[in-house]
Amino acid sequence: MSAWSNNNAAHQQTWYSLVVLDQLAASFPEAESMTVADLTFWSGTASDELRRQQSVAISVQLDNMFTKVWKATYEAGADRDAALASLEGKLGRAETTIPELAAEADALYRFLGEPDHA
Amino acid sequence: MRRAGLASSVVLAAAAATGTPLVAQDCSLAEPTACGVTASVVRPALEEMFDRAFATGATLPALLDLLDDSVRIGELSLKFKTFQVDGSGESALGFGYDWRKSVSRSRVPTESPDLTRFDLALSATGNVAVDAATNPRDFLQSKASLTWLRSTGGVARESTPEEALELIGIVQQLAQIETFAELRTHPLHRQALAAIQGRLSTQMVLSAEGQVALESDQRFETRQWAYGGTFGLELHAWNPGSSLAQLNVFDWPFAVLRFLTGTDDEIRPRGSALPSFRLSLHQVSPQEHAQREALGEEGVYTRLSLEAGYRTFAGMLGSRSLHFEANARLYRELAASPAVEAAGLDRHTYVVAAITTSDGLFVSYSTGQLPFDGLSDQVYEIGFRYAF
Repeated sequence: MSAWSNNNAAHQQTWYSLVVLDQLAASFPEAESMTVADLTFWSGTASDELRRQQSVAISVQLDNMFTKVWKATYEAGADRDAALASLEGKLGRAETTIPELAAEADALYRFLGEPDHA
Repeated sequence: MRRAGLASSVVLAAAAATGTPLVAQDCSLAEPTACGVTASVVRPALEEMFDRAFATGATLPALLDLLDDSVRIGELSLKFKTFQVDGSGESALGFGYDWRKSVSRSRVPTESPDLTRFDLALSATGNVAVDAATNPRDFLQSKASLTWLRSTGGVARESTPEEALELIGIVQQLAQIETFAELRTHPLHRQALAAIQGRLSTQMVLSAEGQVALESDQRFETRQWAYGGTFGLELHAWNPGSSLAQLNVFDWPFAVLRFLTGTDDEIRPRGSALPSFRLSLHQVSPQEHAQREALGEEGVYTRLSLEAGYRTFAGMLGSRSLHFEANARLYRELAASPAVEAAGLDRHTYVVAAITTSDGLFVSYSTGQLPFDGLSDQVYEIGFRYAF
């Protein structure tokens, strides 16, 4: 997993997607130390089932952001099912850090701005 | 680095020992003495907590493992918790668990932002206290479920490749900005935000779930089977210009708060923060339920339950971000007998509200009871989260 880098397209676009979706009120450097529990949707008072329902909605919208707004494509061997399952897994855990979430996105999607993106 | 919830139990124990109303004080872990959290207070409070835990048979390694904020073992998540029962002066030490395994999942193929899929899964959740008698949320659930899910909307217009490249160039610059205070007033941020949010639309996620569940208290002395279904609704008006966003009455008070604290330059309710709902209808078959047995009411009954949850960004206090959240759960037995009604077993209501900050301080208040919880208690949770 690459370190949190403001020169990494996946890290930048994951961070900014969360800002645009009102889930994160943090600069890129500030986001490094934050976790899913710091995202707006994550409620410690909700039941696990409600929180899972909410994380699924955010996962779907993040996938939409990556593919429809940022024009990313899926990496070889990945597809929408795999991407959503992975994002839901990460977003379903309070302790997942934002860098970990971005690294997962980096592994699943080929972002514009990456050196080898066609 | 690992997050640890150790400080939460320390502060809570200290509050219990001194009667200090932490709610009213501006505490921070950088200056715990500002709220009376000194070594002379903490040490006896911790000793009392551990003495009580050991008296119930807990081992030291098990306790130390539980002091982590969250432990993950495969699909199982364990989280250390402390509960304080109002009026008793006692703190309940325990943990919450959550496990879920998707057995089979299938999706209807589409190129649009919409999503339709089916999911067969097993799950188990609950809260367990070292001393079961002091568990204020003594409710465990294990279930198998088949879920249909449909998500519509979210993106109204895709970026063109040229538009995407332009946005990427802007974000590369914005990622160099050090603080959120600088970011949110930067003209490029406002330009990118407007461009992206203008392409978004309202996302609605509907789900319908068929379930078979085993519900019990932590000692399994009271248990019941529940068969039925749950409907879920998620709504996010991602485009702030939409009518739904502007008419979001739930966020209006916090939109005003964000404006007054200077977080926002105008009063702008957020459509991204709308309540979430789950509505369930179950046939419940009690297996071991002392209270119902005493009334001669051991037969199957129908239960309606509703959960509503809400969380929003309330503003910035200096460098701290502030969030407000609330959750309400209602359980109602339909066509309950007079005996069940008289015993108060036909209805349970649980409401909780909390304010949290980004540096770990949180204050929450809850009232009511979950099924099986024989007491209607008001529970305060006060504490910190700290990263080592």
